[in-house]
Amino acid sequence: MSEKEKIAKQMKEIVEQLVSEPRLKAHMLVAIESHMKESDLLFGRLAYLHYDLFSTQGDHSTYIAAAIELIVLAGDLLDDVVDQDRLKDDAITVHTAIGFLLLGQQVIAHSHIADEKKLKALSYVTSCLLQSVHGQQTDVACDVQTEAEYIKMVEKKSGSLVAMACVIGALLAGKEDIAAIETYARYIGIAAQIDNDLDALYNWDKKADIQAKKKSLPILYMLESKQNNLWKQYFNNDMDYDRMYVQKEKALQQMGQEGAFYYAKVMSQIYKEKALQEIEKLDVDDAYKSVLKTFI
Amino acid sequence: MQQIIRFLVEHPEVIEKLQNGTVSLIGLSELEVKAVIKVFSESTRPLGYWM
Repeated sequence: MSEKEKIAKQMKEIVEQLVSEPRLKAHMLVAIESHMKESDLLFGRLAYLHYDLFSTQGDHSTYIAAAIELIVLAGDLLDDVVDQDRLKDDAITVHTAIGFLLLGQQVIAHSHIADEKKLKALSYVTSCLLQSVHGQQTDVACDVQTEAEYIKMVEKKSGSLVAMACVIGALLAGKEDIAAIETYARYIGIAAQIDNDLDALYNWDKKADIQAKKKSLPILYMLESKQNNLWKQYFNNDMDYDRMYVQKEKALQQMGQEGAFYYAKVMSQIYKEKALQEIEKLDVDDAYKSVLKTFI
Repeated sequence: MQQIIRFLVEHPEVIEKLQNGTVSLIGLSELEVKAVIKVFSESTRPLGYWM
């Protein structure tokens, strides 16, 4: 069984054991199954790796990984509610998300690990989730105007979640100095979010980002252009979404011609390089460094 | 960074010189130059998907 399958199995077992309401339980199990098909469970696997990396006793890797993945899945479901991407039944989706969020924290609280480590870990989870909510709200409110503001927003929105996954694994294993881990984790999160936002442009029809007027790096680049372009017209409200949508190929072509995709890819690569530099500084076995680098 | 990318898109001949080390980009760190070279050398077209 692969690491991913082990984590998903553990997530389902946690739901089976701790959720009693039948409809909620069924919905949660379906959500986990669906999440497993769409995701590589990177957050859980990062928590797993970091626990394994610093642990000297006990084997709680899968349990901790499942807890982190449950919390991240809660965030994904809440994103869907906010973006209204695929909603059929608001109430059960919200209850499922809140259930996952609490379940993940309960799993950490009830793990057979020293209380001192668990307290630090749970406090860190709350801190990261709060940062992520701040970043999400800035994103949804379309408050981003510059590259620096975008990076700050994605560091909160996504960097904090990757930091949560890596640092929780380390803290529960007894690692006290988490500064370096936190740094590269945030860089990984920033790079991943830049790539995700690029992906939203490739998958215009599947994502609501453009309709919601979220400003990703390629869009900021087009808005700063000296030439007139469809992005400026749309974001300045000179054109409605329907008119923009029928010209999407032209809009994307303008991005390609001006270098907006190069720009986003370079920015992503910069954060990947920064993460690689930080990982190299870690005082751990080279084999672990190699595994860690596969997440970038 | 936006200005650098616009310059490189308008002057693609500079990318090869950057790779050869015969020119440098003022204001960019070594890490940033490394990222620029990697991205520009990996993509012959920005996005083949719709070009």
